[in-house]
Amino acid sequence: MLFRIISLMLLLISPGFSQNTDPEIMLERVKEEFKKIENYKADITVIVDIPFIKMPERRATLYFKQPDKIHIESDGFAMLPKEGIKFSPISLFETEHSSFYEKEEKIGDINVAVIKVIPLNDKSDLVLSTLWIDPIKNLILKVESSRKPTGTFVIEFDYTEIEEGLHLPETIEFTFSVDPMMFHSRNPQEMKIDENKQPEDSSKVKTGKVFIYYSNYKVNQGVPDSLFNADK
Amino acid sequence: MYTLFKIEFLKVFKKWRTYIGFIAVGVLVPLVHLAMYLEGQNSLDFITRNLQNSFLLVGNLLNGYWISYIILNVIAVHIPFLITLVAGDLLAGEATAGTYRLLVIRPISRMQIISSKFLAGFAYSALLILWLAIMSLGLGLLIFGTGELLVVRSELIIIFDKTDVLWRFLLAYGFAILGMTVVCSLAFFFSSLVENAIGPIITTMAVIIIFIIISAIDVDIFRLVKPYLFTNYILNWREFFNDPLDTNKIIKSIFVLSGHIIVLLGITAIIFQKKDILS
Repeated sequence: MLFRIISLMLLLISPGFSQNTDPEIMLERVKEEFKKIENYKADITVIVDIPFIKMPERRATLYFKQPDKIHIESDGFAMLPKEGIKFSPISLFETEHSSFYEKEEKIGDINVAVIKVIPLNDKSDLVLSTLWIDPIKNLILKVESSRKPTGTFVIEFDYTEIEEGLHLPETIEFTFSVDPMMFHSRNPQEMKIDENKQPEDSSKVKTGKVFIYYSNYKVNQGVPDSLFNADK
Repeated sequence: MYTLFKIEFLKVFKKWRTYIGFIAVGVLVPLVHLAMYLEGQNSLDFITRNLQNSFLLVGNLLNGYWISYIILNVIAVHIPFLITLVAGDLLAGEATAGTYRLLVIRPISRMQIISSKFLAGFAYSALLILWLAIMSLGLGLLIFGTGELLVVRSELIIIFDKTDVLWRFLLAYGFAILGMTVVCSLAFFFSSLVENAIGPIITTMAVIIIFIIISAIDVDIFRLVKPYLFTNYILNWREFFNDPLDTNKIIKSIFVLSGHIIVLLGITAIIFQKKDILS
């Protein structure tokens, strides 16, 4: 009996249990946290590690404005994963959805809440998202999402504190399954080049990774709308 | 020897047929540039459509490097036909004009004649590739500027940084000169056998067409023959646009092509040394 009482007391005082496990409240807090960042400008370095692509490290400047406006400037060519770079908690929870708290997990030293989000709108590209949320800082540390037609992808965030209470990603690791057909040449002239090479098994789906490193953040200093209008 | 080469070089460039290749490149390449200027972005969008589903593509891939790469891919296969027009005429042309006897009674060895004529043919081949480089790369960079080079291979997309491209083009053009010199040697060899230039020109073209067709048909029996066809190595300039460079393949190709030149030139020299000049 004494053991049961002690166990119950320990559970009650543990930080994980003491957090609110209502997924909607957690998502709302994440959204509110994200809304603190009205706009930002950051230098990004993109490293691509995809089996069918060879691309040198690229540098660019990223401009963001709420709710989900993105503009990228680069001296040269850069290829960025759409889901990773355009990820926004606001747009993720904007549509009608159902969510439930699954469990508590640990990412590094951080206790995180695992929440599943299922969109209720048939027209949504999103099939299912699993979010790993830091309930103390209200930050999404990891997202696993299944989308039509791109398939499943995982985004892992590593944050840095820009100002007191303002957190933005320092590193984003974007992992996704790579269908070799995605990289098949559409140029008939190019198809002849590797004619001596034994073709790889096209049915094999491999994993690709894109790492985005953020630096030199300038947060809430204003970003003109004209920048984003040029992209339309 | 230099004087002899100069004379042969002038003889080559005094014939109007020599300019056909330069005119063809001079007309075709600006047309490609114009087409790319008007439609290039659509073409690029088509090639990268699958990528655009998942990736945000920032920056300009429609640049002088990409267009020059496309031109080199398309035109390099056809340049040999322009080379044969001149190389096939180098020796047979003398017979047709009735100047063979005049040429060989001069106080120079037949080996010197062969060497100077071959050097003139080589100079023409090199100048044609140089002209192609100026028209495609030079004009391309002038119109479209520089940028990253997108190379789409059968199951691989390579994006080269703009600082990593120019040397590849220079080596690719250099390799193309070597490949065209093989064609020049072949036409030169056929030219030593007959007394009319049409024969060597058409025979060389026929050999190239047959070899290219054999290389293109993916059948076991042809696959066995393929490594022995020089056409299989001529287009290996594309290896300079690979990452990492397949140096073994490049070196092997250089040796095979150089070997072809030496053998063909050697046979031509022997034939010409023993040739009974009757015209």
